[in-house]
Amino acid sequence: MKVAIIGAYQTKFGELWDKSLADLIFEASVGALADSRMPAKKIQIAFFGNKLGPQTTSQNHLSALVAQLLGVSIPVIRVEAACASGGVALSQACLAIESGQYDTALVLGAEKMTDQSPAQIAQALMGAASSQEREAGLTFPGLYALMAGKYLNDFGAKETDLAGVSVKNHFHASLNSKAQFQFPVTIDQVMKSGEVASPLKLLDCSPITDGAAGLVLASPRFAQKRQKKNIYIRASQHFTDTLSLSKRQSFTEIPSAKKAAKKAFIQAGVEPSEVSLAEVHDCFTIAEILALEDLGFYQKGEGFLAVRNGQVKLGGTRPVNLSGGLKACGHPVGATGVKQVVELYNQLLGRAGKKQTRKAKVGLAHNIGGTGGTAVVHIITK
Amino acid sequence: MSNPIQVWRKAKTSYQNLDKVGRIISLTKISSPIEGFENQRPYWVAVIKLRNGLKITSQLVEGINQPKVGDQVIGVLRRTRVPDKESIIEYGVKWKII
Repeated sequence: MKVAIIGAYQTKFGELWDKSLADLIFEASVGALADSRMPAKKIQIAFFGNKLGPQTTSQNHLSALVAQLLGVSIPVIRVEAACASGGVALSQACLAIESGQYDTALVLGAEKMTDQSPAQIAQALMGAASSQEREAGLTFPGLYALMAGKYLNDFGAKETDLAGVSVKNHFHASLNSKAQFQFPVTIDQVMKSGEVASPLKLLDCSPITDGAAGLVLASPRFAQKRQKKNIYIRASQHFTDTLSLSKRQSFTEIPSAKKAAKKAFIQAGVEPSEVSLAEVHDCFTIAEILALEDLGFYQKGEGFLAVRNGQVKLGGTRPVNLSGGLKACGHPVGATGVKQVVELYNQLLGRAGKKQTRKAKVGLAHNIGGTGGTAVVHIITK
Repeated sequence: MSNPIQVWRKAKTSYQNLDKVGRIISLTKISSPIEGFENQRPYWVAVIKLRNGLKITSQLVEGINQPKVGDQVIGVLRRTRVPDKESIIEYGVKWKII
């Protein structure tokens, strides 16, 4: 696969009281187009990742809203795959370009979440789980807590190891002017932050966030007419699995992610050891530890050691979630998968500011829907 | 909340695990509840493996001290959640430690 990224933009993530969903979509579109130095009329197709729009804003037919905001009449496809909506939107855009039918595509991800109460949003987010899980009174923290409890039990990791993920990602976010939480936290603060669903505490959980991100993609022939050297998406792999956690064989791995990663490495022609940095789906701290193992960076049951000994922190062997991840940069659901690749693109271009890693050549993005019902992995290279 | 048709349709299978026995595989105590469960907080939810091999996700009930992985549980009939003023009161199977 060879799809060029020629523009990228992320809005501030946070509680953006004065921004509507339409405002966020508009800002991300204009930002990405400006970064690509292209007008909207040169875009031939657009994909929009969004999970909750109809529920939180009563707005369906979001494809037409996007078209209206951009002043275009091109095909626009809204993609919903829970928290992997953005990643799947990107994956579909790659397929559109690879088909040869389109030379340029706009990928957007946006979510407006803070107009609702926490209980209402928790209920809405549980739409990504099964009806049995909803009827059991589960929340998403509860679902991932079921996975965390099993992991701690099976592999001897401690709750402080989970907290270590939060500490690391908050540190990275403190260097990111777009992050929701730009302050560091300590292990002690995480451990005392109040239990949400045992063993996960408040600071083990990603927040409720507004935000949007955009990418402009192009075919190699289009990109190379503008400049010889480009950054390319070399792999885009999308797998699904059961909606229900209880229907899986194991609670300490996400099979759809393992399959997507395995095929992505083959498609891109790179080994896990060649990945310089990754943006992974840390919706809860346990999810980052599982990701490190599912992606093949660490053996099963050893992911937590990498967090303990600093290997995945800025300055370590393979920094993970330099944006601050979902935990500290924020998690506007539909935007996350797109923002992950925006971050990787900025890192590969050397324009990531204070959180810039020195050896950015191969970046990997890992985006999960629900408890693993959807997984998308992208690999981008210089 | 489910509407009457959905409750009626679900009733065909809702009670099939009554009196069935299983073991807890994983569990969590929910302190930050979802809508309709606020009056039950905190409450325990577990993944239970039944004797027939089926795994289900459900709530634990009744005088729970410190449930743990491996505890044996039995299915009992309980109200699912607090209904609003116009909805049907829904019942289902929750799990008691034995």
